[in-house]
Amino acid sequence: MIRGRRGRLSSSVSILRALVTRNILIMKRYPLNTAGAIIGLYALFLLVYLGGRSLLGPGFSGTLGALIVGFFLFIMGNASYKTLAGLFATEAKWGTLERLYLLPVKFSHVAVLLSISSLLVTFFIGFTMLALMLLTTGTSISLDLVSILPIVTFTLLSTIGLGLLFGGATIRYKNISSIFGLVKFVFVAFIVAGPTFEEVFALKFLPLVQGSYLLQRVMNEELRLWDLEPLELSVLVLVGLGYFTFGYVLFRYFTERARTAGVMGHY
Amino acid sequence: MIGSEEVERETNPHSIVSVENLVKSYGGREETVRAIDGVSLTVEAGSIVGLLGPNGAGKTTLIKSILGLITPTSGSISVGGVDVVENPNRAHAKMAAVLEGARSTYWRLTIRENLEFFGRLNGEVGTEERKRHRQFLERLNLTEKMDDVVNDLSRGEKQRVSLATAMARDIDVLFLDEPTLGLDVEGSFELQQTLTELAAQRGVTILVSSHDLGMIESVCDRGIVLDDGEIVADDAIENLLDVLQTRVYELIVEGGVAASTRNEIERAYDVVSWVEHRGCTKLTVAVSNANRIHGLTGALVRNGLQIRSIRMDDTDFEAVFASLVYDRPHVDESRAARGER
Repeated sequence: MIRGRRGRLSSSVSILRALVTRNILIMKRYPLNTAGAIIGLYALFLLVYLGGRSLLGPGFSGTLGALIVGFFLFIMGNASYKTLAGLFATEAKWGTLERLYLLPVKFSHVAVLLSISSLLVTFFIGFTMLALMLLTTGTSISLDLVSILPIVTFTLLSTIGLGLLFGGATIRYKNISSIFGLVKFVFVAFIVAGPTFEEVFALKFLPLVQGSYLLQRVMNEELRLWDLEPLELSVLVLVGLGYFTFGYVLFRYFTERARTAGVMGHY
Repeated sequence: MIGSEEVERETNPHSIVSVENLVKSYGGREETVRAIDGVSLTVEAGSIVGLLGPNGAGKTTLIKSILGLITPTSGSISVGGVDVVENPNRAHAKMAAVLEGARSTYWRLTIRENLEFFGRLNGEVGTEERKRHRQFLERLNLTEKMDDVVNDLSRGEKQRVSLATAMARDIDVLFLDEPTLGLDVEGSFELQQTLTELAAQRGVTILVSSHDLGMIESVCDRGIVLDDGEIVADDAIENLLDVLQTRVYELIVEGGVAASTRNEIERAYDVVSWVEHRGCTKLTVAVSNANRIHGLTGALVRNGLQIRSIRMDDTDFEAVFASLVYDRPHVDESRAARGER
């Protein structure tokens, strides 16, 4: 039996290790699935890149850095959200959701660990795509990981929060996947608008907006994390933690509702 | 002892699962459906208990409530002394479940990887755990396929992998929902053997819900029959079989049977049918007390009939089950109201 903070920590580490190992094993066993996802994203990027270059000509190169950073953030945000939102439906279909619920730790805690494990896959796909985009375009941008990783992590906390919200709603209401698809268009709007929302402070509290703005500055203006204004960083942290907490609380609410309605694990 | 009302419920120090006056209702104020309606039961440690009942009787709802997957409307549930409603996570440390048969595992992983995964979810997997996994795979005849991807296995093998992963950690209680669904005769037999061994050798308490009455009869120590969310019978399997006191006899007599004799027999006995065939008459009759068969044979002989043979139909568990569930007056009424036959 798992008791105490130390017990909970070792239990969490063990669960996280199991989830990460599972993801790696599946990625290694079915490399075409992962490769297919990357090829699809790369094809989409090529379409935008080549289309933009033929339309705008030499002027396009000035916006290339912004495009790459925006595309990178879109891939990460969408993957982290979509993976998590769809994961609970998939686990329910596989008949494994109940088994995750029956662990001797809180289900919402397991959901957070699932978020972290899916985030690692997201990072893998995101950074692979970033390398491909830079190689293809011959663009040079700042890749200071000490500055990039914290910004990306806090930015993705908001999409993970939304993923938890939709994941919880899926457990309770089942077939709501049609709404999932719509959210990615909203993400595109927020990422594109992110740097232009600088003027309106309230808009910084939308998901991805502040992250998009700061990431553009770090990667294209070659700033370091500590070069950024403390207020801007505080907004990033607050927005990330706020959406994550919001998603976490609603996830717990929806799973409790699912238990009351007797539909936990059904699909 | 048959019938939930008659069962004495005393605090049993050996019970590992305890359900007290459980109610689970669905719906709003206007129309409420009671999926579980005041169920109380205890399960002794190390026993195998079968949950029986027609579709919609409340078997799965009961199991999922005990597991904490469904929040009950009222009542209490404890497993190993831990209140499942108040503290489901602590209760989960003592139990495992296979609710989705051949599903419930990751089909893109091998058997070994699944065992490691489910083992690790519940704590680190060390030498001791791996030894237990190997022993269990041997018992389930899965050792040779340890490194096969689950997707490539037969349904019976997948079912056994589900069971193996549920047992990947040290548990006290195992819940199974329709474990033989989709299994062939051999697969079902192997599973039954495994369950019996688990209870006997490892002292695991097993609560199994199934439509497979043959499996329940051969594996379980005790049967609980649910219908419309209520327990209609709760007793040892052999006692459930004894419930059906009525035996059906087939008597074949030489020649035809006069109408007056038939009337006399029908007034005294519950005659199912008279069939004349090839110069003989087959009389099928239901007799509630075995001693009464002597009175019947005497009456036939007195009427000048020569008895060629007497055969008694064996009572099986399915007949007991049907008599308990389908002979309930309210069931007939509710089915009639729904337009069912």
